[in-house]
Amino acid sequence: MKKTQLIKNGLFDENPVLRLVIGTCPTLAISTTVLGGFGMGLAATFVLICSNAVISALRRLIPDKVRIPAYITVIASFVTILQMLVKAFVPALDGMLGIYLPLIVVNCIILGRAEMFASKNPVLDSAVDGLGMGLGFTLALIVMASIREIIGSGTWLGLRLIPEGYGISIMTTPPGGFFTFGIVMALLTALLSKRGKKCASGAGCEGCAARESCGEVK
Amino acid sequence: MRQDKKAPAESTAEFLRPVLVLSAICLAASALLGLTNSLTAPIIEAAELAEADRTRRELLPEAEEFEEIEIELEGIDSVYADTGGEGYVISVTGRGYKGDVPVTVGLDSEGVIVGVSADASGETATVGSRAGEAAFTDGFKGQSGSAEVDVLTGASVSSRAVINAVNQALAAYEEVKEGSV
Repeated sequence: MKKTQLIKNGLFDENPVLRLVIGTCPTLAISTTVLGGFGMGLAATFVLICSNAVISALRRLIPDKVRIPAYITVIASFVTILQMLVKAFVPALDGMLGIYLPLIVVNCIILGRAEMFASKNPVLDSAVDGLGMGLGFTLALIVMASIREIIGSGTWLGLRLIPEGYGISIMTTPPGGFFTFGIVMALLTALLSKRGKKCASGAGCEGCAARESCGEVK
Repeated sequence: MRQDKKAPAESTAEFLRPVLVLSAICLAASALLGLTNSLTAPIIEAAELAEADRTRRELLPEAEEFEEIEIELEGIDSVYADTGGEGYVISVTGRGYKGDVPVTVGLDSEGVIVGVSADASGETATVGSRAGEAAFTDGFKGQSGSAEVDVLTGASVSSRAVINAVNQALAAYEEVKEGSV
């Protein structure tokens, strides 16, 4: 598979948060500031690339019966290593992400791509897919965080754009998060439809954006 | 499943393989984690110690170096004395409305309060949490022996928690003074 196609896939066509709708919990939680979103995106991308590569390398050795425990062990190890490295070298990021750093273990994007892609594709392709999905996650986080931070707090990356007290603070709370999420998702779908990408609709498997790579649909 | 038609030897192998693979993965993961930990643990510990020292220094800015004094008193977390004789920093855990309220008191060499830092973030937001703000804790400055400030309206439990903790620190100071004399 063409590598640039894989990256583009992760960024737009099959953006994990906005099209596949996985990894939504950390997205809603961390998208209140652009810096936090960027940090989370980078951390998750690191784990995605590493776990995709390792799981792909071991894909013929892991028996089907124990594939979920095996994947989770690999993913959890990389997240723990990341946590130790962050605590030692970038403690500010640890403070920003808090509990959401270790929670990357159960980020659906990572386990999802391991299952949907890494277990069926060669190592380099899987690593690039991990990079693409991670970048897509980061992009979604930055877009949502920009909207929420500018309207909600009046700042962007900490730089004040709107005078204090004029922000609509609901944007930085959960309801604002869901609101922004829905709108951004709709915008991306509209954008992709206009460029000719057939966006299936409907409930169930026909409407799922991950039909192409899903293991269940044949 | 065709399991029962297969020879016993094959099903043993089929049973063993997942166990071996999973064990191998766990062993490799543990080795990698142990390696990373041995590299990062000292750095993390040094950073934590530096952070704790920084917060102590905020309460007692002229201090040279902090040295911990071993003391067994109820509610007292730690007592640090400045080797330069500037004073003491005592950490106490108070019991607030909703939970623990960590309070740190900076005392000069005569036992007069120079600063109080209280973490009331676990108390009721905007009500009890005000007991952790400078507007309240600054009221302790200059007091000694036994401290008292006006209780915050509507937040008497949280206020009392901080006041009691400060007095516990002052009592600890008395103990330390007696012990070293």
